[in-house]
Amino acid sequence: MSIVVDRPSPTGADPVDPSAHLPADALQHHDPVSLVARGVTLAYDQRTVVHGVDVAIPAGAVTVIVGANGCGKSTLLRGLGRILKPTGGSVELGGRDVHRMRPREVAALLGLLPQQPVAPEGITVADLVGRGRHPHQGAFRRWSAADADAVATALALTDTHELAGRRVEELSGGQRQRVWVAMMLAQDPSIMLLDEPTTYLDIAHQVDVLDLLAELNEERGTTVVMVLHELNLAARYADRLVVMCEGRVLREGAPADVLDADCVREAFGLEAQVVPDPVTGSPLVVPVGRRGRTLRHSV
Amino acid sequence: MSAVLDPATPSAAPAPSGSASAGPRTTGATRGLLAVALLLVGLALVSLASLAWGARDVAPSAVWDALLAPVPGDNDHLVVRDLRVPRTLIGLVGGAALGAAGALMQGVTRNPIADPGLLGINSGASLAVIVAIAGLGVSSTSGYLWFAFAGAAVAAVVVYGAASLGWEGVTPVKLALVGAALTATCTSVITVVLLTDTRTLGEYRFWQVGSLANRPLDVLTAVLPFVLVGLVLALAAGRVLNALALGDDVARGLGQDVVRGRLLVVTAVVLLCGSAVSLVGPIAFVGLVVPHVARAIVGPDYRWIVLLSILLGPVLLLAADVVGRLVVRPSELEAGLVVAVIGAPVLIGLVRRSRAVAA
Repeated sequence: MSIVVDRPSPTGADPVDPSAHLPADALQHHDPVSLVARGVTLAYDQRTVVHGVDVAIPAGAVTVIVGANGCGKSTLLRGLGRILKPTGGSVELGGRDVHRMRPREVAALLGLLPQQPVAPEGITVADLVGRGRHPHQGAFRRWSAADADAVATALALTDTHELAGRRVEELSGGQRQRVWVAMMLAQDPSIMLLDEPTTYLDIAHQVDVLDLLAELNEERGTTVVMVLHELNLAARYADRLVVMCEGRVLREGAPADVLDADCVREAFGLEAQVVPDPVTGSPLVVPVGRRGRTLRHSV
Repeated sequence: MSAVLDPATPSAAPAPSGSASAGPRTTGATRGLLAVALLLVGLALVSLASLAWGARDVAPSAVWDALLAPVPGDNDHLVVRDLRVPRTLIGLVGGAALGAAGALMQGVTRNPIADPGLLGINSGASLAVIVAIAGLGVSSTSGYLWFAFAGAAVAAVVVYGAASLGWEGVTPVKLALVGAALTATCTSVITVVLLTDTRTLGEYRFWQVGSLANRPLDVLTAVLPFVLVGLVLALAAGRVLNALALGDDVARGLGQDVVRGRLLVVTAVVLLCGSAVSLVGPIAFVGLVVPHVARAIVGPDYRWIVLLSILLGPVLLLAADVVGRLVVRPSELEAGLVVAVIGAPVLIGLVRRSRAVAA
């Protein structure tokens, strides 16, 4: 199967650029929807990973879940996203138990991007983004104008419309992550859950993806909940930080209130100094580490 | 695809902006519709060839007369009406079932080398037929029908049940592994029976090799309802497979009930594969090649892959059957053998091409 690839014209305007005739905004602006975990216990087989966690995700804000490896942060995200059924407690979306709702109802409100998703071989960017329309389609209903508009909007918002005809496997990691975010946008949820959306990206692409999510949050009011490893980026982009430790929520609140040396020591077992980020003033975690300690002693 | 990513910075990203000339979605649909039209023409042609050509020379005008104004007692008319028409119909239905079943299997297991035999369905059916021949003395194709069907269904239930043990439920890998294990078990039992019982071997050989000849029409009327239900389910399963292709978690995030989706697909596979095995014997190769050809034409959208596979299956199977009648005249080569000879080079060609594109 060959794809005809046009070089960009000198003006940079692509003749089939979907944004050229972009509908004002094909995606809905949702009312804020609440997402609350009440005493949620999550387990894989017999092994309990999350113990009776209570978390209220603020609507219209960016919530970042951080914690050491194996602390249950990804598991909590899977629980919030209805992928894993709690063995105790409940997750409520807009006041209703997600496991009592139809999957499609949940998908219309809540989108989820797992870590390192894999695209089918040979799929184009536009087709992958189009699959985000799944919950809006029936068994034999074909592609509609509303679907096409939603995809065009999603591509434009993520600045991936120039890639529409490219194969996903040809893209760089940063581009690919933007495309997955676009797929979730085409799904048109009011809450987006993302599991480590910056994994394997270099620092510039990490910032790029997080900026994109922050823009979607600011401009569209989309609630963003993500798991991040990088504490300093988490502190910078989060309105609300949830620090987890051994399957429980250790601390929760605005990054400036939550992230201090004690918190880092307790959650990660790491000695660190926490200083203001010179760019934004958010907490900046500077690890001491063994090397830092020896150097300080040698001075 | 590797996990190591291109380290280009956003500003320096090469981004040779490309887009399909007419927009990717319309391109896929256009190609799909064009392919459907061509395949319908192809179906008509192979059906005509299947009616017109065979061991016996029948003039085209006589074929025509046999269909529209048959003369009782005319031997040419008898050959066309009693042998070639049933054979053609069986090829059409069996091919469609095999093509669709192959596409569904490759989708549900996310495994490009899956074929309808992977779930152990073919070997379950074969074992049941062996039991019927050796144990119960059944010796007619219509007699084998229900045994083949029952064997296929039992195999599917066993495989699906065993694969769903464990907390994570049915996964594509477990389905494939349990299917392979069941196939190996059934095959060894079959071998033991055949080694010790030459009479059964003789009868089983003809069933097993995959021939469209000498299958009475009542077999077709018996399985037709199953095939039709299976085909409707298969077409409905296209979008489910599209969601499942993104991985279980993404599929769930898109509101797809993964367990139900898999059950729908496996049910369709059992109906189609059980019917096909009963009709034409365990020809798995049609189900392996056809979805790859469909994918090469329309890309990875399973709604189109399933539809094209339903049309491509009978084209391939009937073409193989006609070729088999012509190459060793006045004798015949079974369709199941010819399919492999035609299909293998096609498959290799497709694989080579997709490599070239990927690289």
